Amino acid sequence: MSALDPSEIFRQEAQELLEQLEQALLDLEHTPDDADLINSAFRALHTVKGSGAMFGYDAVAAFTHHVETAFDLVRKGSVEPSRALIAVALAAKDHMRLLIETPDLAEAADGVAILQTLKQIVGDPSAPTAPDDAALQDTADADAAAEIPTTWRIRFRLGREAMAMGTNPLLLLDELRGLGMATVVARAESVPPLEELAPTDCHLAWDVVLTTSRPRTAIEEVFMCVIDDMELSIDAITMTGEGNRIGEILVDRGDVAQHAVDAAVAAQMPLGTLLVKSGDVSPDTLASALAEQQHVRAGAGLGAGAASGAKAPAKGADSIRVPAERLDELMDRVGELVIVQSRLSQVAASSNDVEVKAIAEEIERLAHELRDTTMGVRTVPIGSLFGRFRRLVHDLAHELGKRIELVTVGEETELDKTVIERLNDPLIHLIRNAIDHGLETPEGRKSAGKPAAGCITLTACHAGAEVMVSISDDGRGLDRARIQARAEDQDLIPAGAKLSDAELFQLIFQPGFSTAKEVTSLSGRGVGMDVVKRAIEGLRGKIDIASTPGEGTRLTLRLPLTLAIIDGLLVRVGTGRYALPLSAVEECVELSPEEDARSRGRSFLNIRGDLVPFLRLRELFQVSEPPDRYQKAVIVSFGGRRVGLVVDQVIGNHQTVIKSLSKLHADVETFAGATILGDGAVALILDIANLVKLGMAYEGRFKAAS
Amino acid sequence: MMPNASDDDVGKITLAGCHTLRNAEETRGALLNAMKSHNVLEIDCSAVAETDLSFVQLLLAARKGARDTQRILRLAQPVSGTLRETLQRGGFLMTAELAAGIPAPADCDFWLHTEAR
Repeated sequence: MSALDPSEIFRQEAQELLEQLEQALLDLEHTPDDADLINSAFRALHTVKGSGAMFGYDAVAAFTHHVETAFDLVRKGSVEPSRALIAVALAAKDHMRLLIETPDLAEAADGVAILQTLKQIVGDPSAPTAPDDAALQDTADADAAAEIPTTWRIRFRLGREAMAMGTNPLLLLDELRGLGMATVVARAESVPPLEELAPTDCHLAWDVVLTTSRPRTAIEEVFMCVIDDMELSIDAITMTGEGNRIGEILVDRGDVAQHAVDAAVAAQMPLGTLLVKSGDVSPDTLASALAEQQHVRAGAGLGAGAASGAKAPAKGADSIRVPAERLDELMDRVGELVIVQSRLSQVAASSNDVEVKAIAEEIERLAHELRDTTMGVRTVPIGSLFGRFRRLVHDLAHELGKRIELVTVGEETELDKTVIERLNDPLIHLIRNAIDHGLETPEGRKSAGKPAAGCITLTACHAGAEVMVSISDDGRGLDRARIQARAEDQDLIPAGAKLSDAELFQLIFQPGFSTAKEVTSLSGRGVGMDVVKRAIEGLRGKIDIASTPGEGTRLTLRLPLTLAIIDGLLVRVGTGRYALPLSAVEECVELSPEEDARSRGRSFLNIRGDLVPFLRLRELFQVSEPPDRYQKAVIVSFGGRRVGLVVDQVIGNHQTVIKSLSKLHADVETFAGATILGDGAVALILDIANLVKLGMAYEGRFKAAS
Repeated sequence: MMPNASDDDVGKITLAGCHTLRNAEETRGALLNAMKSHNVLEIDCSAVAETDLSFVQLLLAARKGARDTQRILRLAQPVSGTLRETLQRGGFLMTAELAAGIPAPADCDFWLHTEAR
C-alpha cells in the first residue's frame, strides 16, 4: 500500500475534530455551563490549529487561532457562551471546513466578517481576538507559526565538581521555569550514603518537562556555562491521543525496556506500581515519568500543549482506520467461502463418511461465525449519522422560527457503513418534512395545548435481521381527508375509496404528491418523498407510516442489516435458475393453463380484483424448452407498483451472497448480480426495479391501446 | 549542633543557622557523629536560616546511609521556611503534583511527613 498523504490524514482528523466541535457547540446551547463541553470545543479548535500549522494549512491555523482565543476566554469564564457566540462559532466551523476542504472557494472576506462578529461578541477590545482587520491576513501566518508551543523533556546531570566550581543548579532550574510551564523532578538515586559522600560533589540529576514556545536553542542557552561537563538531553515529546501512557513515557525515556512494560500490562494492575515492584523502575523514576504525564495532560488542557494535542476523549483509542474497500474485499472472500462451504455441506450430506460430515459441520459453523464477524466489522453505530442531523435541526429551527428539540435514541445501533451513508439523504428529507409540515408554529402548538418546543425523535433499534430507524414528531399528524382528496384529484384512487391508514399514507410517496398549501424553501413541491421511497427500496428497505391527528407522525424505515447478503427466492425458468430478493416478493400464485390462455395477449393477472401486469420470463429470456404445465406467477413490488413474473417453478428460499457482475455485463439491466448455488451452479439475481419498470411499460401500452 | 541521647535511644540533632556548600564538610561531620551513637536519629531543621542543594544532598545521603545500616533517620517536623523553598525549587517536593493525585517521589514523605500513602 502506498504511503498515506499526510495532508489527507490531517483532513480526516480535522473532519472528526470539526464534528466534535459542532456537537460540543450544539450541546452547549442547551447546557451553557458545562465545562466539559467548553473544554471539548476548545481542544478541538486547539488541535485543528496546531495540526493545521504542522501540515501547512496556514490559513486554517491563522483563522482557527482567533476562534480558539475566543473560546479560551469562554473557558476562563470571562465570556458567556451565549447563543450568539455559538451561532458565530458554528459559522466559523463551517468556514474552517471550507478552508480545509476547498480552500479555493473560501472567501477571505467571509472569514474576516466572522471574526469581526466574534470580536463584537467577545467584546473585550484588548483581547487578542480583535486583530486589525487589515493586518489580519499578514499577521496570521506569523503568529500561528510562532505561538505553537512545544513540550520538551530535558534530563540533565551536572558534573561532579559543578557545585564546588560555583554552579548553583537551583538557578538553572529557575531559568528553565522562566521559559514556560515547567515540571521539575529531582533524581536522587545516585546520591551515595553519607559515609561515602564528598559533601561538595553533586550527585543530583533532574528531569524537567517544559512547555514553551521558545526554540530549542533557548533551552540550550540555559546550560551554556556548564555544558562542557554535564550530561544533557533535550527531546521534544511527541504526544499521542490525550497524553501518552505511562509505559510509553518510561520506554521513550529509556528508563525501562518494552518487554518489562508488556509484562506489567499483561498483569492488569497499575503499570507504574508493578514496574516498581518488579524492580524494573525505581519509585523516583516512576514519579518523574508520572509528573511528565501530568504535565503533558495539563498542557493539553490548558492549551499550552504541543501541536498535535488532545483528541476526543477515549474515542478511537483502540481502533484503527481501514480503507472501506479492504473490508469489501474481505466480505467478498467470506462470501465465496460461504458458497464453497454450502457446496461442501451438500457433498457431505450425500456421503456416508461420518468424519467428512463432522468436518463439514465444523466448517459450516466457522464460516457462519466468520460471516457474522465480518459483517460486524463493516458496521458502524448509527449515532454518527444522527449526530449530523443536530445541525440540520438547529439551522431549520432558526430559519422557520420554530423551537425544536431533537431526541435521539439507540445511537449505538450498528448498521452497515454503506447503508448508513445511503441513509443520509433520505433521512434529511424526512426530517425536513417532519419539521416543516409536521410541527406547528409555537403559537399553533400553544393553542393546541402542547409545549412550545416541538420534538423530533430519531430512534434506531434492531429487530431480527432488520434495523428499524424511525423519525417521529409530535406535530399535527397527517391530514387523512386532505390526502384522500388530493389522491382523488390526481386519480391515484377512485373517488370515495375506503382505504386503510397504512394504504392511504403510502400515497404520499407517489411522485408529485403534495398536500402543502404553500411552498416553502424546504418542502411542499411534491419532490422528495418518492425519491426517499426509492432510496430506501434501493437499500431493500421499507417505509411504514403511522400518524395520529394532533399527536404526530412516525415514519419507520425497516432496513436489512447488510447489502452483501440477501434472502432470495430461487425460481426456475426453463433449465436456468434465478434468484429474487425475498423482500420484494409479495406472493406466489398459480397461473392455471386456462387463465394463461385467457390472459394471452393482455398479460394481466387478476389478483383479488386488481389488475397486475405480468412478464413471462420464458419469453424475456428466450427459453426454448417446453413450459411446465403449471406456471407460477411471483408477484413482486417496487415503489408501490406490482408486477407478476411468470416462472416454471418456485424452488424455495435461498440465502444469497451477491456477487456483482463483471464490467463486461455492466449494461445488462435485468440482473442485479449473480450468486453461486450449493451445487456450484451460477444463478442470476433479478433486478426487481428494472422488471417492474418493464411491466409498467407494458401497462402503459395496454392503456394506450384500450 | 549537639547530639544528645534520649530514653529510647532516639538521638536528636538540631541544625540551625547557615548550612551551605561552604560548611558542608562540618555539617557532614556532625551528622555522621550523631548517627554513630543512635539507632534512631531525629533531625531538627526548623532553625536553618540559609541553605542550598548541598545540604539537601547531605540529608538524602544521611538517610540512605541510615537505611543501608538498618537505622532510622527522620526529620523532627515537616520542612519549612528556607529549606522547604530550596526543596521546592530543586524539584524535590512536587506539591502541585501531589495535589493532582500522582504518587510523589519516595523522599516526599521524608520531607513533608506525609503518611497518606
